Amino acid sequence: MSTILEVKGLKKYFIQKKTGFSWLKGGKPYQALYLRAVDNVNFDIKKGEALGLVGESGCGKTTTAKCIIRLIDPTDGQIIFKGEDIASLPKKELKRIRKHMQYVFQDPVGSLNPRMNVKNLLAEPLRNFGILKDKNEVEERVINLLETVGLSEEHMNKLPRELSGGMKQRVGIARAIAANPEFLILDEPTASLDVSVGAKILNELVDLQKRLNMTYLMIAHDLSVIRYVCNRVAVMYLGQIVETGDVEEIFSDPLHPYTEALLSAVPIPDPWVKIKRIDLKGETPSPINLPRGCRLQNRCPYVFSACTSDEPELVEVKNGHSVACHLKSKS
Amino acid sequence: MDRENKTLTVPKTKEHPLRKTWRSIDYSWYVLRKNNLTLAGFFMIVFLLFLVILSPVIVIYDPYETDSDNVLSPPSWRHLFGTDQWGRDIFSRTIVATQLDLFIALTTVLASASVGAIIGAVSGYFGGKVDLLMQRVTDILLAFPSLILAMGIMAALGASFWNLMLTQFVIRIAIFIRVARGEMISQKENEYVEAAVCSGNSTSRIIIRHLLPNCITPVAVMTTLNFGYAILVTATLSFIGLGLNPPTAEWGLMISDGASYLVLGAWWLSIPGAFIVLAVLGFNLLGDGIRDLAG
Repeated sequence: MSTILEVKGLKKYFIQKKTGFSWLKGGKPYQALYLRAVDNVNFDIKKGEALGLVGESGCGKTTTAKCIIRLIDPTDGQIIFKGEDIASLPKKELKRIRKHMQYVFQDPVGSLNPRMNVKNLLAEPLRNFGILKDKNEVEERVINLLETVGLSEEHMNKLPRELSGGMKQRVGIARAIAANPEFLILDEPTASLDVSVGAKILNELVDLQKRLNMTYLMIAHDLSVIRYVCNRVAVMYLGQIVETGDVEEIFSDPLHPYTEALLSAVPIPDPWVKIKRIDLKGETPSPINLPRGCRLQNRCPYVFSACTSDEPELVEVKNGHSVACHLKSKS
Repeated sequence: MDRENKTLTVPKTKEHPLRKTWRSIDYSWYVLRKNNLTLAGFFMIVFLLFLVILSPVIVIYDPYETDSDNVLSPPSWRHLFGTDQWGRDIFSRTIVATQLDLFIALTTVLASASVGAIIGAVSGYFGGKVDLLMQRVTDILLAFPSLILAMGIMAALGASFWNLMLTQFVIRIAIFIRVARGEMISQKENEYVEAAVCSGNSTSRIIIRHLLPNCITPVAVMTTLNFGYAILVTATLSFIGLGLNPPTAEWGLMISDGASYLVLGAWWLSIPGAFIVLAVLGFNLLGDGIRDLAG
């Protein structure tokens, strides 16, 4: 299996200007603060694989994904897609890349233009990427796409507001797979849907991946979703990946304290099972003002001296299972 | 799970394309009917447009032909609204004036709305220096009360039809720029813009095909509300001698003429005045209705 995407040292810092009155005393007009949304993220995805990116809200999952498809320009790092570094490609050449890489948005309501009907929404990638020109061919392909995602010809002339949430998300997925991309980024595709509709969509995504031989990068904060769809998983905390490995490996033997806590928070649908909850005390530090050393130090139950001085690096401890923790990488 | 089960099927009915148009007309009529004031405004405008359409049939006198035997005559069967100080038929002149005033109002407002919407949209989309420059120009235009600005421009350029059209265009463009810019700034943050980028759209296509249709509602409301105001400005400028030139059949000019003969009767003044009221009231009521509908 060849590597389709490799992310090396990806960083995205947002500049936040803090203005004050210090310029009256001869100081700078503003102080530049860096919000480190994504800070040195490394991972790779092999062809045909599904990588899950998990983490709590605001940890930089979506920013990472949007950097990869270049909706956000990364501050630093390399994004090697099919052997080509796309991190610094000029805007004009991105169209060529996006033909092979598509994005399914989290919010199906906001990501569909309310004034365009389903047919036009789906015809856009087909026409823009120069796949089909002829009107009848486009229409045929649109019907085909709708049937692929479990809708039908009847929905072709509907506006987004005439569709339900699940149908909208299906249209979003259909739009993403319209140009036959090799790589699909799914940004919490089921987060805004209810459980039964979400489950249906997940089934279809698994099915689609097999049929069209696509590679997925799936973002989720729901671990059961990741377990169902993905082969490998990367756990993110405050802009960094703290643990990666095969799904079953991570679920059965989590190494990083954060992953442990995350897994212990998954509800088990059995009232008699006693869950050993690992509570992370305290607040997530602000990504503007990060502590020296490990980012989990103020919440970690196993914290020791090295945690407050050195930043842990992602080290492979078992076959394909890497963790960024002083405690676990030493032993 | 087999695939047949997962496909959501709806019974197939092929719809005639005209039927959709008919449904939207039907819906508009339903909304109009529920709101009496909007309906009244709608009928006032329809009445005026009806007169304009029928003008080749109902204008039997030449609006510029003088008749020295029949000067300042009150309404009669021969002259439905009477005649003015040169013996010209007021009915014919009013209908011809309706054509002219509606034409000026509709064309200038639509022109400034479309140009203003595009400028505002571009300004709002790109932001930064482009926006800063365009908005300062807009500030200058908005700093003057629009009637004063119109009088100033007309006084500088001289009274003529094309100058009046230009003035009407200029005094109104700033508000359309502002409205479109504001809407664009809020719309461009939507996720469908990012989705459009991913679908391989160019920036110009995103603005024209994706964003402008979503910014158009407040611009359309402003447009209808401005038709009445444009009619008023045309009439005011002509009344004070800065709009169209005297022989022209125009409501403001006719009122101006009639005002000199007010001691002899109010016919030559109140008829064009009533038409102005009808047109301005009609457009404003209709505009209010459309605003409520859109908001």
